Amino acid sequence: LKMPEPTPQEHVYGVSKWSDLGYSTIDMLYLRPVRWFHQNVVERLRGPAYPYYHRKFGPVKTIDQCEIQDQVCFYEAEMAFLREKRIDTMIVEILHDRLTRCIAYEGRIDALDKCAKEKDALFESHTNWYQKYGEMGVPHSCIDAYMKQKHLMIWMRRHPEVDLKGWAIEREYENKAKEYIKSIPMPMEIR
Amino acid sequence: MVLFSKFRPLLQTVFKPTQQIQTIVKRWSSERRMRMMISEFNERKFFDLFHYYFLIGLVPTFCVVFYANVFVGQATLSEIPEDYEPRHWEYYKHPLRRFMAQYVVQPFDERYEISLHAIYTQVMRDQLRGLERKVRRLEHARGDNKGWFYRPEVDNLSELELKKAAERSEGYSAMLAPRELPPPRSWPVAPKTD
Repeated sequence: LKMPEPTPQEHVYGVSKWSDLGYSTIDMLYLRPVRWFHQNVVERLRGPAYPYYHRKFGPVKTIDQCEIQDQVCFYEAEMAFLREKRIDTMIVEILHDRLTRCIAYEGRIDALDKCAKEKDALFESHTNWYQKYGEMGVPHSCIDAYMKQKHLMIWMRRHPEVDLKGWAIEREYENKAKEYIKSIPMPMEIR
Repeated sequence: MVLFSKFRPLLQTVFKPTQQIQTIVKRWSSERRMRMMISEFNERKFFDLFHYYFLIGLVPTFCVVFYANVFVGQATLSEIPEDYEPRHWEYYKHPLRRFMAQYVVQPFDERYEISLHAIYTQVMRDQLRGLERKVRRLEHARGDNKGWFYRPEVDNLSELELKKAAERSEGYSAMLAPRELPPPRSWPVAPKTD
């Protein structure tokens, strides 16, 4: 289980003299001493390695399986619901972060072509999060979320032709943005 | 904190020596002069005490943090081996955080279980109270049982009343049975039969 962590930003030499100078000073003053210290002192004196584990939460009854007036079951279902919500929020945040890094790497205009996968992933996850947890009011409970799911499924059954996630609108917006950029008169060397 | 020693030179640049009160030049001879200045004793004492009390806390903390980061090192993420339940502090990475979890802070799971226990006891208490209310209601309505909090008092007249009411509800008849005497007293002391 290896969590993919974002790698630190690499410095690209040759972009400008001043950024090179700035990075060289930071490199000399901070990074090299720290690396030297870590390699020569810390790794020689460090004790044996020891493990730490990822906390696992066992399977617990959800509210639809709980008996009537079983407050203990309600509490456990509520805690499981809140854990799931936090995990889903982190997932959406990570995908958003990926898109931002992609745009920063490619540039605002190339990102329209090259970052389509990250954009689609974010859009999908965001709409799913909204369908599951959004627009219920604050505070809301696991029972409110359950009722929302039920009403959503009923509505989807009654209106099967409606596009709830809005992919058509999203594609239309993308095409409009690309056409606008194409419509700007620009020399071919830059475009 | 480190730049406290720069305050005096800054003040001296602001207050020029033209002000006679600040710097009085005494001439003992044409060459030798003494400049009268305000005493630095209080400043030096303040900075000494400040550094002293600041470092009393900082030096041990720095040593502990240095030891934890350099000599002990942070933990490595690994799979939970089978048939092993990790202790609650083995879920944390940094050694100082592990120390706090082990000796200082309440465990995460314990807090959860305490909440569950609190809910359970509250539910049980509510159920018992409901039961007590029901019992009291029925006793008041029927009036036929002593009750678990009831002190036994012999009330012959009430018993007689109930019997008479039952007889009256049955209906009047020409054959009237003789009236019974009340039973002999047994509490607090039975009467002497001599």
